[in-house]
Amino acid sequence: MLKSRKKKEIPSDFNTNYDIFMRDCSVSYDGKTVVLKDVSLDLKKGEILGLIGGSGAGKSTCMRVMTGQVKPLKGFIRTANCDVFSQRSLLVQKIGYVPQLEYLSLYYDFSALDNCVFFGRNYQLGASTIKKRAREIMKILGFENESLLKKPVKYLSGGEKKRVSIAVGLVNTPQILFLDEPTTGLDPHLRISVLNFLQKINKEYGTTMVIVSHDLEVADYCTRVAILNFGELVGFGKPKVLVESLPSNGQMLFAKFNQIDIRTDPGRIKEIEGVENVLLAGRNKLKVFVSDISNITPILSKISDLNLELKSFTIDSATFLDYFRIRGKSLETKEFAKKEK
Amino acid sequence: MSENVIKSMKSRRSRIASLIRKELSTLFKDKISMFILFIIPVVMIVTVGAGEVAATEYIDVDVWVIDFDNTYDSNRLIESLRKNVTVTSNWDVQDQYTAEEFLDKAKETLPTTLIAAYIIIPEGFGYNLTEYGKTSLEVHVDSIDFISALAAELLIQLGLVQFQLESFSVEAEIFYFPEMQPELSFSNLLQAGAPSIVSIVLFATANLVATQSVVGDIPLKRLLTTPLYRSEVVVAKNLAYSIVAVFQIIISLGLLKAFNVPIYGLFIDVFLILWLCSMTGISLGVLFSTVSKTRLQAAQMFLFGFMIMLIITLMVRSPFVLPFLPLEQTQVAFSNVAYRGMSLLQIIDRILYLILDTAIFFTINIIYLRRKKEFV
Ligand SMILES: Nc1ncnc2c1ncn2[C@@H]1O[C@H](COP(=O)(O)OP(=O)(O)OP(=O)(O)O)[C@@H](O)[C@H]1O
Ligand SMILES: [Mg+2]
Repeated sequence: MLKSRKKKEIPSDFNTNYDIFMRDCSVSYDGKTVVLKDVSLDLKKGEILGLIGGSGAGKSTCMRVMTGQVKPLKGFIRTANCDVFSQRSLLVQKIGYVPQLEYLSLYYDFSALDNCVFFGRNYQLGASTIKKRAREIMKILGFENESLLKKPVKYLSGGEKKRVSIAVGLVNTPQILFLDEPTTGLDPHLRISVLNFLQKINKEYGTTMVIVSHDLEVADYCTRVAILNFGELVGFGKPKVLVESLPSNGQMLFAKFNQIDIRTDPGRIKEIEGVENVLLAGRNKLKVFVSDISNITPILSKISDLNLELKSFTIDSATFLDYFRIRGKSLETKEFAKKEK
Repeated sequence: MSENVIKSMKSRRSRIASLIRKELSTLFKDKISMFILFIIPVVMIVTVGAGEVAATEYIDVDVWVIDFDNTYDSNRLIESLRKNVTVTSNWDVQDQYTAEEFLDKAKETLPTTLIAAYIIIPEGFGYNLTEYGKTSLEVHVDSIDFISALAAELLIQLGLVQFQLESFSVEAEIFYFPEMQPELSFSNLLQAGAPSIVSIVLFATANLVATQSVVGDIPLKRLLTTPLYRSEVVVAKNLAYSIVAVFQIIISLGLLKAFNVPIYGLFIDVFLILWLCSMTGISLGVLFSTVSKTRLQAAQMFLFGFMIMLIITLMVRSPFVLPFLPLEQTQVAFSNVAYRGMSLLQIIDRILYLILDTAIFFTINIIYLRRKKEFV
């Protein structure tokens, strides 16, 4: 079990433009089950990274590696150009961290401003500086009502708490902000508005962000997306590039049928030669990914051979959701289960 | 370089100060903690202070005395004891038993709880008293029956104290075995019981509240992702509670004054002793809080820790464990300063033991927290 104390080698492709640089990191909490396997990803200054995956996929763990809260078994990790362990005191000055659960990460009996002060004081900031800054951030977060800022956090709504927590994470003007599921548990409206706020902050302060989520809409706000599946990185890159990595550069056949059996027909269509993937896209609608979209006539004829009545079809671009459903296998089944309900 | 050191020390101080402020505001908002820290001690002290005659009237304590001395002094001691407890001496039963037989009988009877204690007045008791002004005697108490043991000790002490008053000036020094301190006249139970009551109450309340300090501070995990160090957490928590302890002690001392508990030594010395007592409770409490996983577990640790400490204090009076029993050290230091007017220098060993205990708990705490994996 003895590991060599040899100084870690710096990968040749590392340079200081990266705010996050992770290579071949593996994590195990108990020494037996590996919850993160050889994950490599990187992020340049000012970018937004979405860490997406199902429950237990290792998203939070991956983030904890970046913040130095968890020591990987192996691999190389630099955050904000700091060694996350030996330069911890420098690192914590440069990052902000918004944990997954508010009730575990805010002082509920105290107001938003008090919370900002408790956390901000650790960065050598005076109370008035912190409060001024907190108000500024809260304004961007759509939180201008003074009475909301002074109410004990426990009396705020879920969405308000989330935003307080985000504000606390931003109080030190971090170079990198880590957000663990900032949109979970919010209504669709709030989800979008929180993401909009984050994007605003990213623009305003140039803050690099890492957002953990299992809401796929996060991808629309990210410059880079990493998909984790049971601890393995199954996709990493710009959302557009990822989508274009699908068959036929992400172009697919969007087909409407008169009547299909969702249990059997998608499978039957997938058997057809030249068809790579079939996704359910609503009632009697399928998205058919083929290896060569410029030559779909043979496929259409084979579909009619299956006694399926095609009402209409178009060639359409795949979305990130489509990509995720194809590449993040574990979630696909969940999506199906949800839809069938 | 040195500028950096100064800068980092300054920032360390400001982080600790900020955490103390946070800790205090949390504490003052927490009604249960406030109740434990301020209401319970007041109620306890006032109850004991008001309980003057009640206890002596209602508790019937049987004590046997085996007098091997048979002098004027030993007889006078027995008479003094009779004022507070029911005494049967070997002279009362000399038709049936010799002194030795009566002693054997006492040894057999004590565990049956028919008697609460037996006292041996050794040969030379009176001689030593007149010749050297110091003497000794043995009080054997049945420590298993907790309540009557405490009652017996208290009542026997009252008798002993009256005996002393009749024979000597207040300054006269008398050492008893196993323990016996006051040399004054007491008009209420608090005046005799202050050292034990106050030290127990201060230690226990501070200890109990401090057991929740780390385990109950759930967002602490997030605070540790800021430039705050774990060792700073331990320092700040201990300091915050020690500030609260100051208020507790001031209130307690005020009550002692109100009930006319005599303090012959310096007030500030008594204050210091009590503050050190609180500190041992606090540092132990914060340690419990660091090692436990839930609030309940931390509270249980307090309970078990406190019971074990009380039992050891009463039963295992070995010189090897006594230094590590803050309650014992505080009681002795308190009564020596308050009742005997001793100076801090005369009880410096007790003071050092209390500081040592605090330092031990504190150090273990820092080491443990720094290694605790969960927070990494
Ligand atoms: N502190 C820990 N000790 C032991 N195992 C842990 C710990 N934290 C996480 N795990 C395990 O590691 C795996 C990955 O957990 P992680 O929290 O990274 O998942 P996640 O992708 O963030 O999931 P979720 O979306 O539910 O938050 C899980 O199987 C989990 O049980
Ligand atoms: Mg998570």
